[in-house]
Amino acid sequence: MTVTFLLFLLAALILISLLIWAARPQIQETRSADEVLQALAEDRHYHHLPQILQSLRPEDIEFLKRCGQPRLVRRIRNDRKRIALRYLAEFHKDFGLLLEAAGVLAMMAPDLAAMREWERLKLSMGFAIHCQYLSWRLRLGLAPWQAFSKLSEMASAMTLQLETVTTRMAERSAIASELHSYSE
Amino acid sequence: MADPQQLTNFAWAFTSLTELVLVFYLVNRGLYRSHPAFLFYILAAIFQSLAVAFVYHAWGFRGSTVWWIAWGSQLLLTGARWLASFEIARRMLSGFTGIWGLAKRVLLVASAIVLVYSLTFFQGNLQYKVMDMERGLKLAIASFIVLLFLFARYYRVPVFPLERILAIGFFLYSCFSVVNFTLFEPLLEKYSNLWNFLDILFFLATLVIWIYAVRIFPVERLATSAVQLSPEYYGTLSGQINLRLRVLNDRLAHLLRSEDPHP
Repeated sequence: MTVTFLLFLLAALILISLLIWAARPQIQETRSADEVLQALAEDRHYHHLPQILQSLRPEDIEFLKRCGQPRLVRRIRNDRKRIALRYLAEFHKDFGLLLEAAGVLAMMAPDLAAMREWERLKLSMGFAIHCQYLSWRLRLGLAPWQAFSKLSEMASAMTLQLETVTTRMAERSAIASELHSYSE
Repeated sequence: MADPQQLTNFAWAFTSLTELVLVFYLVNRGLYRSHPAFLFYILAAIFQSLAVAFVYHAWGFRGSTVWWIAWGSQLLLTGARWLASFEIARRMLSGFTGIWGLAKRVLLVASAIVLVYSLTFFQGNLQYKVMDMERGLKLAIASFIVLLFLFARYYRVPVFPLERILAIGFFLYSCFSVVNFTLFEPLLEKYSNLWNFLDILFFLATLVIWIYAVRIFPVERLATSAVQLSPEYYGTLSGQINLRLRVLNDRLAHLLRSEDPHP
């Protein structure tokens, strides 16, 4: 068995796997540009982050431990794990929505900046890997609870920034639509 | 038991007939207007089969002239196949000016890289090199198709069934052909008939898939975006979206860095 044989066979296997993944029908619903931009302007999941983080604070667990309530502690821990996983899923959805908006923009753009698209691809891959890793850590009970609480400090600023961007996007899209309808 | 050469010849003749059926459907359904490069490729395949059959009949299977005519025309045919693949890519993406502009560059560069990668494995005499080049072109076509689907998926571009099946057909034939040649490469002298027969069978299967697609699926108009943004708007908005993505990504990375294992 030669190196050539192995390399070509490996290349063929990789290509077949990639094709199976890429050519499968899209299960997620395809939304129009207006719908995506509308969704961006709507209330986001991370708006509720402070409340979620409040429920994840470790002080009450410590209190229950001191009171000698092991069953209750276990139940609360499980509930918190569930909440953290749901939050992570919503966080992922928010990221996906931004990616979808980026895709909509790319469809409307007359020319794409290769470096910017490359950067977005790297970000989306990094985010997906991080999200998956964090999700598995939570499932295995190696939860980064402390880190979740640190998020609350940044949440309000992030929400504000995103709102500014999405509002501007919606405005620009509306202007572009109007210009398009005039030209017709 | 049938002679292997006779079996190959029979399969070859049957494939040519199937090609004619495909041409009939392509013309009948008006695909010569929407897919001229694809029709040209199928016609070129029929013409090549006839020419090579004539050459074999007149001068036999041996001899360097016969070999060069057979493999030279095969190389040209593979080039026509690449053009037909490019036509499918154009039909899938050209309605979105920006995406098509980027995809065109990436697909061309990727095809060239794969071809160069394949050619680094040149070995033996000049005749082998031509066969290696053909394998390289086929691998480039397979990579081209995969990248095309990845592009369409990443940007959520709608892929119409006809284009999807035609592209998958090109991929399957190219990929199996690469594997077939790679498997038989060291044994070509001994098993050339079997290798040839398998290659013809793969092509026949691809033709059947294409006939099915051409018969069943309608030719859709090119998908386009109704709204066009100016380059300045795109630049600003895209930069801002990337910034937001980076912020979300950094938050997550921050989460991972500052872990406390004890809830």
